[in-house]
Amino acid sequence: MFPRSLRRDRCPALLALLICLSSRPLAAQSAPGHIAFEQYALPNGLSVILSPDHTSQVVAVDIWYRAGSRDEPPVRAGLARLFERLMYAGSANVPPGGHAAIVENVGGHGEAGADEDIARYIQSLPSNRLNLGLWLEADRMGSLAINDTTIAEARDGLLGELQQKIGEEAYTAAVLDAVASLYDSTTCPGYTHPPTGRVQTITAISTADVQGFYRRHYNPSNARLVVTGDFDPTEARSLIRQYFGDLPTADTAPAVSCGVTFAPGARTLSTRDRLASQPAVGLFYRIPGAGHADMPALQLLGLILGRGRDARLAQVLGGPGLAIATQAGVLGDRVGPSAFGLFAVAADGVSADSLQALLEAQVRWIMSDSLGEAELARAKHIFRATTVSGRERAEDIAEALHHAATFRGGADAVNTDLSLSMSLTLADVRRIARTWFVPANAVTLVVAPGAGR
Amino acid sequence: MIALRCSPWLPLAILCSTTAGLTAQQAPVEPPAPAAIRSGTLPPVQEAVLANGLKLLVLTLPRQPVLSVALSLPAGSAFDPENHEGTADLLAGLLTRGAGTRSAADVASAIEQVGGSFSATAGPDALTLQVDLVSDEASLAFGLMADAVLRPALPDDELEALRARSIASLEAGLADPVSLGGRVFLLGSYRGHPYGRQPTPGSVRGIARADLVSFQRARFRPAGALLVVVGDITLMKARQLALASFGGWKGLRPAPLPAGSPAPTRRSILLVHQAGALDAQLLIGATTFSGADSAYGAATVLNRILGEGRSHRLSRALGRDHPWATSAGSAVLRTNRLGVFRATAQVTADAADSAVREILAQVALLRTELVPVRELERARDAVTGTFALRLQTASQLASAITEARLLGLPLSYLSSFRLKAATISAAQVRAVARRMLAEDGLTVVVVGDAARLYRRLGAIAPVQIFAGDGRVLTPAEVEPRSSALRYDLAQLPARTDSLVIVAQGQPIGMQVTQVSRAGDSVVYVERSSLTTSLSQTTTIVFDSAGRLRRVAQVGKVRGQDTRIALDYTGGKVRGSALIVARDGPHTITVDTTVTGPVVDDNAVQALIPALPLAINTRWTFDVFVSGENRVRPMSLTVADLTRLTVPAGTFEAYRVDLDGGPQQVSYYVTRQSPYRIVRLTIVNTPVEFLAVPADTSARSIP
Repeated sequence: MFPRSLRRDRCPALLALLICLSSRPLAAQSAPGHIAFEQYALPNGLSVILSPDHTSQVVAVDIWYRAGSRDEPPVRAGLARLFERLMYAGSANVPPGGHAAIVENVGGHGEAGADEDIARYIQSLPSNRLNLGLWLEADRMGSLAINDTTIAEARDGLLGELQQKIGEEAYTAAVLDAVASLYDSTTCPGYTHPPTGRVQTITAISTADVQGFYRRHYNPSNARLVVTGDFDPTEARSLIRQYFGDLPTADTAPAVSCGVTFAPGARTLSTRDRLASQPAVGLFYRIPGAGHADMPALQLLGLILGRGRDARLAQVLGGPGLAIATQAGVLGDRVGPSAFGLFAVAADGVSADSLQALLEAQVRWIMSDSLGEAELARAKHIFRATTVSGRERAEDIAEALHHAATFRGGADAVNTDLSLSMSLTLADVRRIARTWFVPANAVTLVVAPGAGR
Repeated sequence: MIALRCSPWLPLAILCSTTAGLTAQQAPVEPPAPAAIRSGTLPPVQEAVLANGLKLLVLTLPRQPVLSVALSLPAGSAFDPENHEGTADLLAGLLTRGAGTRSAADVASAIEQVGGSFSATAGPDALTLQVDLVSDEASLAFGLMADAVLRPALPDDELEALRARSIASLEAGLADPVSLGGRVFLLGSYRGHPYGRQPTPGSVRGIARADLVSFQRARFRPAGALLVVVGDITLMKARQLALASFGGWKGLRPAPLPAGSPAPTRRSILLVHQAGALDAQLLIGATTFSGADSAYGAATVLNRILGEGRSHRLSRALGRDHPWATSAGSAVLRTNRLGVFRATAQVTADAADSAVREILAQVALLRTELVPVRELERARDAVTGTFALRLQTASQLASAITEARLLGLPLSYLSSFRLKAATISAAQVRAVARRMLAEDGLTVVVVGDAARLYRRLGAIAPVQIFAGDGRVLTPAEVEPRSSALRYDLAQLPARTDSLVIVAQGQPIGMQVTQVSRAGDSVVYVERSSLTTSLSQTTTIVFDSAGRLRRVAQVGKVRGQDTRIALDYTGGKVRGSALIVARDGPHTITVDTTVTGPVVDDNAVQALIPALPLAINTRWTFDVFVSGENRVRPMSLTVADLTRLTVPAGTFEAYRVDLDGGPQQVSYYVTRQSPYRIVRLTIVNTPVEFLAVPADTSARSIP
């Protein structure tokens, strides 16, 4: 499935596809909205960010590991995502399933997710349980129960999930393939396969593969711990040293490079989907990674085209009954080159050709002088509203700090990025659209309904 | 893993396995103990009252530039006019669909433009509107709110669309056992009290726009209304905006809910009849106390122990200790005047009476025994923990403050609850159980097939049977019509049918049945095999009058031969059977006198398509079970007519339930000729037989 970070956003669940906005970064710069934090590192390499806030009696313990699908060999696609389940298999001092049960029993909740670049593990707990949250994370960072049984269970779960997404949701497989095809497997092997994996690659995952991945990636040198909410920093530092301090250092995992050629020439992918009842068309463009200067504008372009009933695609395709579903936006957060997509499912009587022409016309529209101040202002309002309301809960603040540190050059960006977005002009946005949304930079996906997959 | 009961009788599908439990590792080191819970650290909520009586509560939280505004009015569903239940709900649905100078589309655009949200809902006590958006759009929030409350458009087209959706939903709910059960439970617990009133398709049909307008005029008054504002705003600014938007709002406080209690009740079980239902929905509970009662803390802890979260008592009693329930839980529902407690379970019909007894026993246990320490601590932890997590955002806080006030709680409640709940004792839990779950105060509702259930439930308490629409039914009205067993073999044309045997979607075997004529006789041959363990061929011969004459069966079960050879003549069944039981092969010599018509257990499946099938018909007859060498009464009931799709196609089929054997089996027989069994399920197992297209019958058995 596509950008899973998106599922945690309040994204329109219109198509399970999720060409959706990742609206993480960008904080307000004045007092309301400012996120105060301190950062340091343990001798064993664990990065730590502490951001106390005593409004509510909640703490979040949030760890990101450099352990995404780009770190797995394509012939073992799905290995990174296996850990979403495996990390609940128990550890030296926690019984199988205990990580989830213990948290739920104290009224907390947890989440796990692995996408292209990172794997995240978040616990939200009542604040008198800070020590428990840290203890649980340290235990599974150091001694996760990896054996044939736990791997088999995790693998079954992953296959089941794959079956559900690919086997039961129309268009999903086609979109995943289209986005993966934006990249070249020799220069950018990490992004040429979707994180969901395939049946053959998941089945091929061996115990040795899993142990190797865990050793290389699930260690303090490749992890960042963020603690937010109602806690005392001095106490937190002491607990972190107590629980994580003795975990051995490891090598930093090798960086996976992704060389990409922008605008290599237009391409079209045609496919059939037996789960689809209507034709669908997608336009996918290669764009730079989340840290690039153009990313804020691209986020706004996604909103202009795709967010809400007054978005461009909804107005021009949805409203007049030409498409039964439309979506547009940046496909999640990536360190390496990312993708921007527009997608529409045709209404009855509308051909794939006309739908394609309509979508292409909207791309020309955003590059033209027809894109006006009103559309930009609306997108900025929505962006700001989503950002600030996405910074109230302890877990959301933790994610925002991680996001800034991983994708936006440093945790400080959490307090400077929003004003960057707000200061973009119409000229900036048009220029950036004209840079990236050229036909030579696109892969067009045409999905026909019916058997033949 | 599903635990299957092993059946020595069942000729096929001996998929016996035990539940594989995961053994927890012994955790060498315990998790660290929690720190102490401190009292809450929210800033104080400031209060103001406008001249017209509107109460304003403001919580200033400058952390993020967000704002949440909630306005609640004493116009909940408990105030719906007589025969117009659903009024508050319809009105709430329309308040955001156009007001002041804005159409429904304008309102939606205005709120979307700023990335905000705007909603209105009606609960039992109050109708509440809420706007969440960025704090620099505070004027928009107040403006939208005031327009909706003082100048709603209530457009006709929106009203009709909402009415149609509401009626469709209510109609679907009356057919759905879970919704229907919930409805009857509220009626049965509140017994005439306004909180028990609920909308029906009829009541919603009768609500005119004028009725909505008079309801709004009568109940939307500043006195009695509560405006809660949370976020990046000062008291002064909030007051200014409230005055500007609501200052001109006039009117006296509307009438409160009349005092009253539920009518007295006698102990009985309310049984709502759904013919043919294989499951039963159970709802057991009682009304509790007023919203501000200090016993709610103990009630919440009790609820966690009995029916919430992981491994609560109901799931252990109904799911682990006995495999009866597919789901079980409980909930405490709170209102201003009188709340209600409800335990629910979905169980197989056969287990309904045992499950009702078990739930009553669990409740009785809470009344008599003190909860053990560890269980109590765990429940307190969960209750105090979830409370904290629900008070993080401005929106959550606005809702929580509103709700606390509606229940009659002091504002300090939000800051002090966790500390209080952390000290609730086992004695307090037992005391609240005695108070709210007294044995003679409990309402028991069961939704299921009354024909199957009423006798066994009647052994627990007097049963009143109702149809879904509320009509009282007599036991005779729910019983299937009994018929003498009469079958017409001419309805079985010569043909061959194939069924694939699947378990949890995976094919595990095949069954091919063939009917042919040999002179005057009708011969039925059934070949079955399971990949793992079994193959057998059964040949049944009927004479020209349709009487059973001979049964022959040869097979192999797990490598051991089996054989049956029986003759049915002259009032006797004679022959022998070589069967494989748990302790090895046995030869049984059969020589039994049978009075009246008797069917061999292997012939039941052959006969079903030959019966004159009609809904709610039942045949009771004697069956000779060769493996047990005795006669047992069994019954076939036509329980349902349904549409199903199997590999062989889509069919309308009667569901015929076989009872009286060691396993309950359901046969699906086509309504149209040629009458054939297109599906067979063994109830409470994942095994089913599905008809496959004719051209696959030649496929060799896997």
